[in-house]
Amino acid sequence: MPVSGVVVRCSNGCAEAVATRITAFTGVEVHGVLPDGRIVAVVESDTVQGEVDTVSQLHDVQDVIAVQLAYHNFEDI
Amino acid sequence: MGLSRREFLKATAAAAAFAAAGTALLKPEVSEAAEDGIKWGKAPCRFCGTGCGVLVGVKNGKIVATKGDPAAPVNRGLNCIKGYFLSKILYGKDRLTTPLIRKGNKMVEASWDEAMTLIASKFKDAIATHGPDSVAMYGSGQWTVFEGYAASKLFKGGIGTNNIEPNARLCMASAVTGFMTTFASDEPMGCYDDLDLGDTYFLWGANMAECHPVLFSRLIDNRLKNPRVKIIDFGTRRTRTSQMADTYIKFNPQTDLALLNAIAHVIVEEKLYDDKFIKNHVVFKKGKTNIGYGLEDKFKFADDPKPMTFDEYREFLKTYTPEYAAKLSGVPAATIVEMARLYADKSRKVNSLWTMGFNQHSRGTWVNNLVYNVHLLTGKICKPGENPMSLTGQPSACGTAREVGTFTHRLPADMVVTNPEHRAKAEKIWGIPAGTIPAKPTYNATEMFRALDRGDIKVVWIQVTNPFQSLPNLNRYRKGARKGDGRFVVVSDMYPTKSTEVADVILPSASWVEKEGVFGNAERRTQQWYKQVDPPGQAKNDLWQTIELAKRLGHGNLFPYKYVEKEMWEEYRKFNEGQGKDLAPYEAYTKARGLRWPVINGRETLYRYAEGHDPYVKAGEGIKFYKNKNDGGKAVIWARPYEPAAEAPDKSYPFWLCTGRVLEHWHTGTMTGRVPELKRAYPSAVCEMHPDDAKRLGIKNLQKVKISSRRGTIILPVELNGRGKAEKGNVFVAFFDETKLINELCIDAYCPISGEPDYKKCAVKVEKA
Amino acid sequence: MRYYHLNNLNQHTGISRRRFLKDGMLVPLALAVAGGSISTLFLRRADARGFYLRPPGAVEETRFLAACVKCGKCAQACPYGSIKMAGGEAGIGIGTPHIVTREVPCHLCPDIPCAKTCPSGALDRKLNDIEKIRMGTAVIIDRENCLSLRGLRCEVCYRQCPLIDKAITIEPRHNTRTGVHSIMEPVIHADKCVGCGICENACVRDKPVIRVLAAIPGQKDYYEF
Repeated sequence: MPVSGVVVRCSNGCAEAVATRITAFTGVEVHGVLPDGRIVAVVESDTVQGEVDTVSQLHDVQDVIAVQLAYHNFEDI
Repeated sequence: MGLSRREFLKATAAAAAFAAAGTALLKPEVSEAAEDGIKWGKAPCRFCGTGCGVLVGVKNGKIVATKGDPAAPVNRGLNCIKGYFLSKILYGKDRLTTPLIRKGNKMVEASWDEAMTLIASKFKDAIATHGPDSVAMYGSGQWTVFEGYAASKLFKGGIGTNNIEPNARLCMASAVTGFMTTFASDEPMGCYDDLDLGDTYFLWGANMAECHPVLFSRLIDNRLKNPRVKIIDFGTRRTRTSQMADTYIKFNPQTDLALLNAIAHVIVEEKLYDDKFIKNHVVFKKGKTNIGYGLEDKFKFADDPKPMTFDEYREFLKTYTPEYAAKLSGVPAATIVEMARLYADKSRKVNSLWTMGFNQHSRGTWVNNLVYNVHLLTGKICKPGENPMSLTGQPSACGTAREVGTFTHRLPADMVVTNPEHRAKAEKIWGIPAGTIPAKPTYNATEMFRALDRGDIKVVWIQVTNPFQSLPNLNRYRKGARKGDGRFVVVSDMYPTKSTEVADVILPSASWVEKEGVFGNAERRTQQWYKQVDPPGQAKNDLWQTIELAKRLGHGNLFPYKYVEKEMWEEYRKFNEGQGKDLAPYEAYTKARGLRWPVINGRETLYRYAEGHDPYVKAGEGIKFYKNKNDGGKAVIWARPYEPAAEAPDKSYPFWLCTGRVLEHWHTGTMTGRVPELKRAYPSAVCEMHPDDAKRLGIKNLQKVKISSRRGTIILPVELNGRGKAEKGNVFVAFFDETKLINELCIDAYCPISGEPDYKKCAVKVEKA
Repeated sequence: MRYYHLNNLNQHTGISRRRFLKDGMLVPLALAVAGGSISTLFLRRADARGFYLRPPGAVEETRFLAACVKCGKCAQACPYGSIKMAGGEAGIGIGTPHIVTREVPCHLCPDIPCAKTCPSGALDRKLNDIEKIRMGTAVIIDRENCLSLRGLRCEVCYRQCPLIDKAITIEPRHNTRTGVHSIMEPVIHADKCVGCGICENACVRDKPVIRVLAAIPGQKDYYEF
């Protein structure tokens, strides 16, 4: 089951709100909201495709500017 | 604390992402747990209205560390030293752990059942014999939202009395009535971002450096980054704030009324006002004058607003020439003119900040109105970086006392008991019979304790506050509590205090992260926290205590919740929905570092009443004070005159006495006084005095002086050159020291509109002790 | 009382190592009086500030040790109990008055009762301005653990300093970590600091990060030949 760490960049002042929104996605855990408005989150899914889909969905969330992948592990656990 | 491989991978993923983001400071919670067995959780600080976020570290069921929360937008990992030592406030040696019942002169340990049975019987007897208005609840701006909501629901919706008041009556009531009379809605339109974005800051009678420490740090940083930033400190006493301000302007106590009117006078006479803004967004009104001081028991006042034209307002302002205000206040006329022009300077983003100097004032409502007047005349309002900002003292005076409406006259969401539609809405949401909530307010806080003294109130329950140290004219109310004859005082607290001293029953209470809670800070940010440790001994959450009484009084049906906090929140939200005060679902707050209301579709509001920020303002409206329906969505400029203080210095009592706080201690010092580091930093109260006054009276620095008012007397060492420098003819004493009850000297005069007592002005004499 | 060549005196223990070895008589006597054992001779090293903080108006240390008759009148005169009499660990300084600022600092009484009562001139009886004394100089000895320097709102040392804005001032600077706050750094001005130790006493850290050290000699800000 793949696990990845992502950094989400949001529009000014929207980080908290975005954090609330993306927490609602299955497999997304918010681990921190940085003072400059970026969010650190962990995404997990059953398959790599599922993970790609989830991250793609993150891009479409209101006030999200960018989603950067920082870490990816696809051990079979 | 073992981690599964999966957990470990997730932690690694998060850590890598943090590293990628360039931050080494934030550590993901799980990997920290793996490291040293400490589990971290978020909470807002227990102390002032700034509402800093902290992280609380728990190991083996005990708090082992607290630190500023780097992810909290308010403070970004910083605290003041009260916040730094937060965990210690729970672990003082004399923490209350069992209920105690007074038997003769002793407090005897009892079980919860015994205590609650006794309390319930006292309530029942009093209600049966003297009616529901013979019982009362005195709560707090340090109550969680749940505690306040439960108390309000029980008393107004169950027992059927409006005898519920918060200690916020003593700190923010004038700010509230200022908001309600000017904007028809409580709480500021701006937020802390204004501290970063503005360039001109007028501080009025507020020692921000010591009382809103992290906000002050933010303000100073703005100035460091932008040399254009000016900070002007209007004060009656030279403080650390004055020291760091660009200009300190001293004025005679009470003359803020004249100064603000004079500033308005200059703005109007020199045509510096924003004509378009006034036409579109402002109406003018006047009220009664010579409105009294609330010194007589059962004092009643009802204002009689009458509309005015701009010309009539201009006529009213004619008295307040800079020269007239200069004579009253001691501020040079040229300075007043300069400040007026600075306020109106179109190239500047102007903000006003105030707390207790304006609120604890016998004309507190008026002076709040007057500062809004200046912003309304110049149109400097509802813009990022440009707002009048009422700073809140307590951590949840906003979130609990004001938003839940735990006042005699209020209901949640700006509603009032005097309005039948509001009562009906509350009754509907609470599922209680129509007519349960009484239509008439009863007593403000001061009047409530007068009623206890007279015996009109027999039973009072005090939670999370210490009125028998903090009330003005304290001697009367301390004596009143112990007059017997059916009076029964219940105090819920964590430590023995001056209030538990006069109690008939003492209930040990859980505090802060020993319970789940929600606070709301000064910038409308609602912040939630989970319970992280158990309270000691048999101490219990005040929420549990209130619900327990409710059950025993036959009102258990009001609290049919399983997950009390969450279900109560969802019920409470209904009041705010669609009212411009919308709150998000509970889940949102468990995750976020607070959200500023109104929260619509998960999105918080930074600036109320402003198009593009406040979803209630429609496109094209620009600015709309939509809560003031009676005046077509406009704000009110009030013609409020200067009127003298309740008790000014005279031959027998030639000094002004002002009271207040220091950074190291919170309020009556029951918590900070038990943190050894804070007690060591500032052990006991002193009397600040001007060196010339001291010399004239033959008093040397550090010598003991006897200070007396018509109501009480106290002996303190004098401080002539400390952090606060009294002006001539003034003395200042902080009220945190339970061995030095300065409030015995204070006068219980209050603003007739807000009911808030004036802790900043009374007359005293000073002699060598 | 024998007069020693006090030039050799080691400031840290009040008695030079050579003296200690040579004058086997004096030290055991001193210790016997104090009731201590040999090991207590160096007891104060662990938290030594490197010197004994003498009461206000004290003359230079070598002369002080000669002049002080160890009568204890200064300690009696002090209304706060700030002045303590040194024990055997002070070696030759046994019985001399000093101030342990972390326990009870000097409060700078304007009428200086301690100096006024000294019969021997170890404390200058003619001292009349408490701000002119120089007991020592406060120094922030641990910048990393100073809360103010970490950006928190502390500055207790500054607010409690009896010579606030003279001996200690605040110099704010931008906090680059948070980006929107200022660091309020307490800065000590040695020419004004009298070394009373109120700052050290008030410091909220377990081990105070601001301590009174030996008075720093003044220097001109230009080079003098």
